[in-house]
Amino acid sequence: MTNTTTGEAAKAIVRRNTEEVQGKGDFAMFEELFAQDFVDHTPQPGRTADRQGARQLYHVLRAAFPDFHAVIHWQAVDGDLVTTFKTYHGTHKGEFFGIAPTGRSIQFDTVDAMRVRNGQIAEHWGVANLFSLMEQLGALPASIKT
Amino acid sequence: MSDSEANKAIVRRYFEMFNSGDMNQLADIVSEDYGDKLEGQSSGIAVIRSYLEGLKASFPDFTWTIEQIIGEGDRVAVMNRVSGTQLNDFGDIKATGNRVDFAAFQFYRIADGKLAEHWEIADFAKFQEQLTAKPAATAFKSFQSNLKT
Repeated sequence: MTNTTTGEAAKAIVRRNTEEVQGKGDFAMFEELFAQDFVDHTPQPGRTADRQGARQLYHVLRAAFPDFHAVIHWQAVDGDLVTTFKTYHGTHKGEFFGIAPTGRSIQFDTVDAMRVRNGQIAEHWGVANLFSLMEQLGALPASIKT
Repeated sequence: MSDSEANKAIVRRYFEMFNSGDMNQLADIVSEDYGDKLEGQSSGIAVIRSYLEGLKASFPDFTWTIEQIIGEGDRVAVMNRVSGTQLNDFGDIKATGNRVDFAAFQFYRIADGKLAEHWEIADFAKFQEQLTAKPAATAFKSFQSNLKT
């Protein structure tokens, strides 16, 4: 299979997902950007590793944090793999992971890698600082509260 | 070798050094004023040296496994697994014998052939969960599996 996406174009595709889909809730764009056979190598617990799972997660985030958006610190590309270092921001107005809305402003760092093939996002790996997010929401189990 | 390939090679060498525990190579790999942006960490080669030695003291088999490595310009990003066994005290957590295995991302800026700056996002929630998992329950399982029948 040949890959027709250049490095800079691949970065722009990933950025569009972060800014337009995650940050503005443009789910028509989600359909354009994600390959039919998309694979998430690090799905959140309880979500499937396909585009349906990713779409649901984005909906959950936008419902819990209606002003959800990311500040992208930087991106790098190597072959067809794009990595993005970003901080997500939002106000907790809807239930999230079983936590009732707190109204708190939260932020957490995330890094991910996405493989872009023929203009679409085909694979994803990510690490988010959910420990910090849960701490900000006051939701760490009592046994590990500091 | 392009700059970006050379940069990836120095990062790979750093990971191999950590895995082997041979900190003698550190000054060849990390710059004197190594700027570590890991939360709570200060800069300088002395800090990173005691940090790495401290990790190895608590988790003697601590291993960083590279899963993806991405180089562009003077930056290298690494997606890696962190795995090991807590055989000695770690901070104020007494030795549990627990095994940890979690994902992390590292970013390095390379200057003059050495690692000059570092940022990291790790799955600390998983680390916390694995480290604080009840050692007694783990010990009981291992006791059972070692019973002579």
